[in-house]
Amino acid sequence: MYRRVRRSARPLPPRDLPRTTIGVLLALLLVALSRPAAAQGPERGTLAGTVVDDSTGAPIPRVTVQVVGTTRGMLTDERGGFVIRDVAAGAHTVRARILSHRPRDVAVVVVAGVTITTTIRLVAAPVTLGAVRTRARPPERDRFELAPNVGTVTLTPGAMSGVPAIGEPDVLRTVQLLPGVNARNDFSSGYNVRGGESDQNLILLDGFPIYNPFHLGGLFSTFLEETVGEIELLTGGFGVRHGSRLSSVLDVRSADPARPGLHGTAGISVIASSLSIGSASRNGRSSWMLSGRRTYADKLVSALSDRTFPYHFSDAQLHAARAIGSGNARVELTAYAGADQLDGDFTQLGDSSRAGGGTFDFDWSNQVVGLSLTDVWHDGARLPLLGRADSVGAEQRVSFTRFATALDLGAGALALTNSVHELRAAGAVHWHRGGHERRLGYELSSYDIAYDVGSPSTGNQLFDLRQRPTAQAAYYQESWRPTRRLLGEAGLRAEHVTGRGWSGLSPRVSAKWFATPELAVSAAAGQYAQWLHSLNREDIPVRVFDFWVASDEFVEVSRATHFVLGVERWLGPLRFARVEGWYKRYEHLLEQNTADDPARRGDEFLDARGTSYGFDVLLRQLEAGPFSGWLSYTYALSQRTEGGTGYWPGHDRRHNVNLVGTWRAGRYTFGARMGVASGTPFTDIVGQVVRRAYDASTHDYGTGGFAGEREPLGGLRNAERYPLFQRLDLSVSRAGTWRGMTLVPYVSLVNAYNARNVFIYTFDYTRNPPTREASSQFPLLPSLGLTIGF
Amino acid sequence: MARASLARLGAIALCVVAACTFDQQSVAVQPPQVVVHAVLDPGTQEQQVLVERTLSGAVDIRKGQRFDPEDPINTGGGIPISGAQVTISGPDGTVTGFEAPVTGRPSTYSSGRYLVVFGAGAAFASPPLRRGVRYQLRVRTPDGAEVTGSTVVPDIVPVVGGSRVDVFNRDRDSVRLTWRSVTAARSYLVRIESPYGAFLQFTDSTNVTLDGDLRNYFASSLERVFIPGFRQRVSVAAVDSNYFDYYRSRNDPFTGSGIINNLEGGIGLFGAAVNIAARSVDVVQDPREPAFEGLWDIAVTPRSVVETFRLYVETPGEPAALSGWYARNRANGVLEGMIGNRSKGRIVLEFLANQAAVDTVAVFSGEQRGDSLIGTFTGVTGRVVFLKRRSQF
Repeated sequence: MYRRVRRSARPLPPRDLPRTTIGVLLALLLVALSRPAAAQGPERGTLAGTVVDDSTGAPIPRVTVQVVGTTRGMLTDERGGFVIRDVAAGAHTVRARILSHRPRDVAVVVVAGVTITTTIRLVAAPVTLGAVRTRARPPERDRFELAPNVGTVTLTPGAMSGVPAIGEPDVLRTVQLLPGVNARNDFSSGYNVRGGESDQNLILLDGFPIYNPFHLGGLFSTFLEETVGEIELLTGGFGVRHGSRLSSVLDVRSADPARPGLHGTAGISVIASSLSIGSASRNGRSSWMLSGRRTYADKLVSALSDRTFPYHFSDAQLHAARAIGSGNARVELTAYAGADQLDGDFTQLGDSSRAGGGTFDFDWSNQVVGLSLTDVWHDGARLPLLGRADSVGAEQRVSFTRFATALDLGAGALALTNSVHELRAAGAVHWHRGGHERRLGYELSSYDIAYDVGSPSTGNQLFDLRQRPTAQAAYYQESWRPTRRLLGEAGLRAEHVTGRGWSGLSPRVSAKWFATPELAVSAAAGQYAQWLHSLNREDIPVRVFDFWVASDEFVEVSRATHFVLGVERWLGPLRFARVEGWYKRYEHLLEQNTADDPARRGDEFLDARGTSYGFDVLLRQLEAGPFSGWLSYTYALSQRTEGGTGYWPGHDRRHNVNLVGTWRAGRYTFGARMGVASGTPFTDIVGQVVRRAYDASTHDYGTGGFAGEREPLGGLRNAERYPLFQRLDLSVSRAGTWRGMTLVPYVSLVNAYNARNVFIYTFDYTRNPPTREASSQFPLLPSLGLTIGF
Repeated sequence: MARASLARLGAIALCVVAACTFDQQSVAVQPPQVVVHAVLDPGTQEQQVLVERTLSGAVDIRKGQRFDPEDPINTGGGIPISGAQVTISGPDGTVTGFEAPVTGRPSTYSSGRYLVVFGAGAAFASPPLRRGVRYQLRVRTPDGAEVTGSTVVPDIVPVVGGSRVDVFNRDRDSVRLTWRSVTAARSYLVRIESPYGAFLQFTDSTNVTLDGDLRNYFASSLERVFIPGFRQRVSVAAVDSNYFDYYRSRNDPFTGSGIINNLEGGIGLFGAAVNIAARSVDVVQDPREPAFEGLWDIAVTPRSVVETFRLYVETPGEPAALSGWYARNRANGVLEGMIGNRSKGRIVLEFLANQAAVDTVAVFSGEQRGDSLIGTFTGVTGRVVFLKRRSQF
């Protein structure tokens, strides 16, 4: 049975778990971290080090490092590091193997009670398929064999680094290329998963929630590429561990440095500069990483001209981990802070005719801080009600998440603010015996949501909302393998939300049946609930920012039901193909009501229902060897009904193909992405209306020479489709060394052949004949940058 | 109005992110819809009903015309509908409207502006417009389209704008208005006329305080509402729910939806508004640049366009915003508004009609040399010199 063990397992001396007569529920609160010292007696030592490429010096991840003649071994991490504990003192041979390089044996002498550090240099070699056996497997293979893994895709930094991008690689931009995921257009790093709305995706950083992780109105995500260790995307049918969203879960895990000594990466791109530093202790028991990024276009423009560029963003992220005691106990801290500022003065924008212009301030920010404690006991445990276990694990998390936006026009003439604070505590205990796992968990969230619109200059409050709901959830899940061919997972999640006073049960089941060891059929079904909603209108292609509100006495809790059926076939140790069909049903989808009365609560949303169905195809070559990438295709159809009227939602896209490839040839890495997709719906503009303002003090229309503004008139909602989307992105990088540092300059071409993809149409009905003009998505965008590893 | 500002922000974002346009092509002319703007106003006997068509691409629209309140549709970029039957029915019966003539235009001229006269003299025998009661509008166009709506007039005696004008120093003063609550009023509309467009804000309160530094979030560059040198009217109207809904909403540029329309068979508004408070203020401010600000008189000009103007540095800095008033003829005492800017020593002054920044009578460009402003008027040959009067502060 697949288990998430944060560190490589190591043998422990036998001990008895302290008995307790308290029930299972208290076990959730049990975080016994102290334990007897690990049995690393005087005869044993630790072997640590790094595996690097002999020519470039670049660390190599996922190398199998084994102490020959023993069962001690592991895969190197993303920084090429390894730590092998409990090695008998004396002379040993350490063997390092990976498909892309020649294997190498290194002689080492392990000293009792000491950590020996070594660097193993591997020479690149052509890949030869054949009877190459490795002890370690890619995690995708583990998930295939050990879990239903319905709708699950994982990505490593290696997979992301090869995807061409503007500036540095971007997590969410890469996620948009995966099966089942739809990006509305080039300007948004938001995404829709299997026909769901864009606010239905739970995004986690090391398991802690983060809201609106976008910069520049959606052009980039808040995740710093250097900090990412792994990404897991659950596109549907996910288990009971996750709640509060209807469509998907994206869990971005921080990288864990394993190499001792201070090291890091500095990056310069056309967008931003970044710096990441980290280190691990020599005994491998602690590590930390600190990263920061800032755009500099504003500084450049100010330095080189008398103009101003009113926008910049900055991020900082910290991740630290430490083993506690001598067992598997571990504490981790994650902290993130990011801010966007679009602050300017109309006087400084444009020519002198704007003299006298006012200021605008548009800021939004994200903060997350979370602490987690985990522990696993591997030997002979016996828990009340659950009986004897091979291992028992416990985890406890606490986090604080904050997202805030503020818009001010004219120094208080009009001001809008929205903030979401979430304090969350979550935990679980899991019990393993043979192929059987049981998991009991809880989640408590306290929200503080504020939404204000007003005119401080006139003392006029236009809208004011304050919500402080709490949400409680408890879940129970069983995973078991009754036969070699059959895997099953079933769980029940119970949730309650104050404010709305809603309670619900969400059962979720999944199963996998192996026709052969390489071919499996999987299925899943489940119910999901969501009580936080964005006021964004999905029909509008520009996602400037989200306003969040919670379900309350006026606003329903949204519900969804998923059904998934899929087939997965492995075509070798590093290649697999998967087809998954899915059907989703939604109730109480909430859409912003444009006619809502600000004086009346309860009319902010319109209640819609809908369905989405389709299938995804994924063919993937994993990141080992010179070539990796994937081909994804999604067929999807989404429909919504509101007030008895049916329509296509703005993100409904029938066909979506992405071909992503990375080639590594010596020092060079070439990346390419070809995307082709059918158009999304839009509402045709069928005329314009001149709005005339009546002045009761003069009894006239349009006084002062201002007659009225022309506004577009929409036709049938989303009845038209944009034309085909197509885009080819290319990139190349070259790794080199200089004075012990790794230098990787890169060049990328986004939209390499300058395809004209329509972003939106604008119409002019003031002339005969009327005209329509297209505004394009990304044009050809070359970018270059440099990454320095030290 | 918050949503209106968000829609504007979205449109700005649209312009920023989609700077590349391509593939302009003709599209089909669309079937036009009937647009009606009608607001019952007990402060006047003549109720105006504007009847026009949506812009559908059937005809070219003339742009850049000087706005004429007697001819608001033609001069305001619209397509009038002539020959429509317009009636307003109430508890005292039905009053039929007529298409109003436009001064200087032939009788066959189509303005689309219909007057429904209530409470006129014996010659018309129309009932008066009553407050607090419901009225029904019916508009039938020559091609058979019918638009209907209904509204209730807020029950309050309208305030007639007085002749009193206060001096308002925007650096130190604030405008405070109070009024009593009005039956059948859904909201109150605070309106301030400014050269950059009216400042409009709905409020549910019965008082408002307006700082002199207030910015107009409807203006393209968020200019201030109160501009030195201008006589500006501040008014409050009690409005019904139709008026409130129509003017607080707008169609967003992406979907063309959003207007709250309470008419049947057409687009627009049949609502009611009653003026309940009004003040006029002559806006001034404390001196910023005494050597530049003040009264300037014409000294040399080939043709008298402006005889005197009063100059303020509305916003100092680089560039600086300028404003003030001017007189074409010192003798008749009529003052008009002026705006301008100064950038790198170059001064541009726009002399306005109707105190509207979009309605320019003349444009002066020049520079200051001591107590002289030397330059030219656009389109006029010959040097122009203005001399500064000695200090008036």
